[in-house]
Amino acid sequence: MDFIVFAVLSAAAIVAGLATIAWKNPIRSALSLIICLFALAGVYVTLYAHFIAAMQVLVYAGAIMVLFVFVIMLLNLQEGKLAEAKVTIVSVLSGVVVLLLVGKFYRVLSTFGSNGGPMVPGKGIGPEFGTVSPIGEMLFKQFLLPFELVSVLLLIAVVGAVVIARRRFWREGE
Amino acid sequence: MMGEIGLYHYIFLSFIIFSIGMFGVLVRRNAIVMLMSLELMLNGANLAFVAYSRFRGDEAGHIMAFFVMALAAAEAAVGLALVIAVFKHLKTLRVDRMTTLKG
Repeated sequence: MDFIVFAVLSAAAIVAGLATIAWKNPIRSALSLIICLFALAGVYVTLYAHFIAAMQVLVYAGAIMVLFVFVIMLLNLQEGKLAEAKVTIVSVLSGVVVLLLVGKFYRVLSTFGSNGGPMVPGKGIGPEFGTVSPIGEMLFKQFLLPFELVSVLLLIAVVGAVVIARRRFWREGE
Repeated sequence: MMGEIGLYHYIFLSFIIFSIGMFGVLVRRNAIVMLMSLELMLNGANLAFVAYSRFRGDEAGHIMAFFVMALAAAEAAVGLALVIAVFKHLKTLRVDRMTTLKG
């Protein structure tokens, strides 16, 4: 049963991920990416990471993808502007680089079929694993400083985004 | 193929998602699709964090995944603002047309 759930979710994530980079139209890519993110949220649930799964749906599939879709709508792309460059030497080299990466990780690939042992060696996990209360406790005790720094980072990103999107970098005549 | 789901299944899935994202960043020339491929790469890394967290019975990996999500939100905001600024000037999203700095 676990295996079927995992297989269906991961197949959905992989197919939707491939669709994301294969569609020519960015709006289709965005919708495929939303499907991929939802499937990954399901995978997080199978790992008992309930809080992260909820955050995945809220932050990724909700906030970030709304931003993407909104920008695509705002730019109002016509068909002519979507044309991709023809297959060039650069894209061929890129494919070779990815293949080299796959070769580099042959140890990961060679694990296919084995399961790496039980998920929790030594000790079991409690019923509270991955819920809001232990994560919140850890976040506000052990990781308090990084948590506060993330708020500063988000403030910088918001101010930076407003400044970049509003200002004219180039004069009209150029 | 039926069997117990183990750590390596999740690491394998995370590796595949990361590779798809990397391929998208390297091959596609549309700036928005490249940003989406970056999100795929971040998700692959996130899945590895959460899988190892479950493997060790320790929630610290969940905290890291949470921080990566905040980082992805910041990155998407700044990246899309750059896309809008470039599109206003060049009227295209193709990164191989953005050659203003080329010497």
